[in-house]
Amino acid sequence: MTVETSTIYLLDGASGEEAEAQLRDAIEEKQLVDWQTRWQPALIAILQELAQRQVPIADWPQSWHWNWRTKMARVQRLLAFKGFSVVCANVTQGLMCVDLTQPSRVPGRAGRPLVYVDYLEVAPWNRPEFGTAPRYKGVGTALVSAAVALTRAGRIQGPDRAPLTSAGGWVLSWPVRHDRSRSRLIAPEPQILRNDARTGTRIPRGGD
Amino acid sequence: MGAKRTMTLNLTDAEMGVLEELSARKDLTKTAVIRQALRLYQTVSARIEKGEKLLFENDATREKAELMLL
Repeated sequence: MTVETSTIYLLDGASGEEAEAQLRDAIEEKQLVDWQTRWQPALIAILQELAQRQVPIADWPQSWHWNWRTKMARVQRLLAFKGFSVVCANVTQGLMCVDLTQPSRVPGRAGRPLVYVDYLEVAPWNRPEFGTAPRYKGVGTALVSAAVALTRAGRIQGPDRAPLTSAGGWVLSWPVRHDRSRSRLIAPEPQILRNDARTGTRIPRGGD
Repeated sequence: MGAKRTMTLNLTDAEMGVLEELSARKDLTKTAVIRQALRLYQTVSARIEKGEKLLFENDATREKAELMLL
C-alpha cells in the first residue's frame, strides 16, 4: 500500500513557533509502536494521578481504554475503514480511524455518504485537559481536516483533495459537533476558505 | 488515496441506468458510487464470513428479512 504524506504545520506549545509535521493517510506499525511505548506510559501516569485524586472513572479521558492495535487489526484490509496519523519530530502525535460507509445525517444531505470519524486521539502530551501545556497544538484539527477533505474528494469532481496547510493556499474550516454520548466526532459540511496572503484574511472559495 | 489503476467496466443499459440514478441521487461521481459499493460489499462479506447476518427491519411492522449474499 502506498502511503500518501502531506506536510502540515503544528504549533509548538513551548516556543510558539510553527513545527513541520507529516499527515499520513495510514496507521502503520511505527505508529502502533509509538502508541504502545510512548503514549501508554504517559497515559498511565496521568491515570494514576487521576485515581490518586479520586476522580471518577466517568470523568477520565474517553480514550483511556482504547487499544489502537486491536482497533486496526479489526479493520485491516477493509476498504470501508481508513487510518490517518500525524507525525512530528519522528513521533506519532495523533491517530484517527474513519468509516467510509456511514450516511450523512445533516438535513438536506441525509443519506448521502460521508467520512465518519470513528476514533480520534491525540498523544497525551498534546492534551490541554490534562493540565499541562500541549507540546504540539493543532493535531486534532489536522486529522479532522483530513476527514473533511476526504469527504469532499469522494463527492465532488476535481482535485483529489484540498491541500492541508496553515502556511498558505487552501485551508478548511467547519463546525464540529462532539457527540459525547457516542464518543464520536461528527464533521458536517466543511467550508473551504483560502488564505489571502495580501490581507492576511481567509476568503470563502469562489468569493474572490 | 495511494496509486490508482484504471479498468474498463462494461455495463448493460439497465445497469448503467441504475449507476447514473444512484450517482445523481447520492450526489456522487459514478466512480465514487462503484467505490462505495465495493467497500460495502467487502464489509458485508467479511461479517457474513464471520458468521453474522445482514437483516432489514421494517420500522412499522417490525418484520425482519435477511439479505443473502452470493
